[in-house]
Amino acid sequence: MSAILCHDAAIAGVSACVPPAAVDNLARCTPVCGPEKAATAVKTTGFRTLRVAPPGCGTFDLCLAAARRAVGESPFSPAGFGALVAVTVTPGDEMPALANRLHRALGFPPAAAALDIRAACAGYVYGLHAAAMYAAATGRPVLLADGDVQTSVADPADPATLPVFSDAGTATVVCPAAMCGAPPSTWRFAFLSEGDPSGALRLPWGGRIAMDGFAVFRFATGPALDFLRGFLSSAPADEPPPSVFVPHQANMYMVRRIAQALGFAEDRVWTSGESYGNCGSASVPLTIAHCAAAAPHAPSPSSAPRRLFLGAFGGGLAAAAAAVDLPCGCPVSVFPLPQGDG
Amino acid sequence: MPTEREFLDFAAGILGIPPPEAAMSLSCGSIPQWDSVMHIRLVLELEEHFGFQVPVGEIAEVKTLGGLYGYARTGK
Repeated sequence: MSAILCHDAAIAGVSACVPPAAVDNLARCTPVCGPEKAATAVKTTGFRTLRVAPPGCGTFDLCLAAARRAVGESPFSPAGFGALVAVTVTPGDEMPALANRLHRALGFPPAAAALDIRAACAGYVYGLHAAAMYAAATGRPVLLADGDVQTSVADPADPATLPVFSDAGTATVVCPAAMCGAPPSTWRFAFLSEGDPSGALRLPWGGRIAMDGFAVFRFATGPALDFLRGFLSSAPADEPPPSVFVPHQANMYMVRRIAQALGFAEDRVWTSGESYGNCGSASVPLTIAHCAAAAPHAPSPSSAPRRLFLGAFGGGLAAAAAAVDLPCGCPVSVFPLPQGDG
Repeated sequence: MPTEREFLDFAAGILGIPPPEAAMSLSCGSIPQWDSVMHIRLVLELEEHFGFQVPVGEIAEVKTLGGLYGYARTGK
């Protein structure tokens, strides 16, 4: 498997901002699906509660709140950032890009690059790779914003997507390792894109998300699983073994079975979907923030960085994998959107 | 190992159909209740109840109660 290496990048903070109310998934689905199908949907997805952005709250609002928290908790001022990468499939306005709007709102310097990446569920890993490259190229910290208000493009009458999609905005600060005192390390990335000729997961221009659950499940447990397995087995001998697996929170049953097939015991799999649903590509950074905040040193009590194995798959059909470090003591948080920010 | 009848009766309960209508030849998509979402729940519930596992790459491929019973019989 061909992999891409990035040297001496570090994560200096991860924040996630979610809509304030936890919506009971069963209660939400029952009027649309009926009680039996709603129960089936909740049991199958494993998503007990979802986060639904209130009217008027967009991806920009959630990402901006997360970005302000992440930048504020980092040792860097906005003026020092070298780039802003935004990952989303629901940017709100198409132009200016989400990254441009965040860049301005945060007061980043005009010379800092700003661009959006569209890579659906695998997007965070693509964004992290881009952020690490910008950090190395500029010698400055880079902000990676990743968020979606998927409920704005999900058909409220579609029983296939209603119990699944949720909303969140996240921000990850990536910097050259020396800038935040992290030990030198090498990150490894790999990517898979198959195209989606049969339309397993589609968001047409101006339309609604349509999902063929079987086709997505087949991709996740077939080509994507093989790809993740290949990524793990092709690790260089000197690469630290992963401490934890952080999968895209597609569906909790699927996540458990994929983790098991990859050889990860339950206590080495980080999840957040039970409480936050499938937040698209933002599910990976949300899960990192959620689990690292709950157990700052898990799974080991040492102060060594945790080696995260990130595995994401979905729309595209695409998948991405990364092995990266999360320093212990790195600021992480999940918080509700403050009133008045939506 | 469950008997065929035990297996079919339990599957009927999950699918919400009368037990006599649950046959080994019944397949996903052949009745309105058994759609793709129900398929995953059916596999999940059968696995939990009878203590076996369908290999992850075959979950979306095995489409009949008879096929699922094959895994229950062998325990994997």
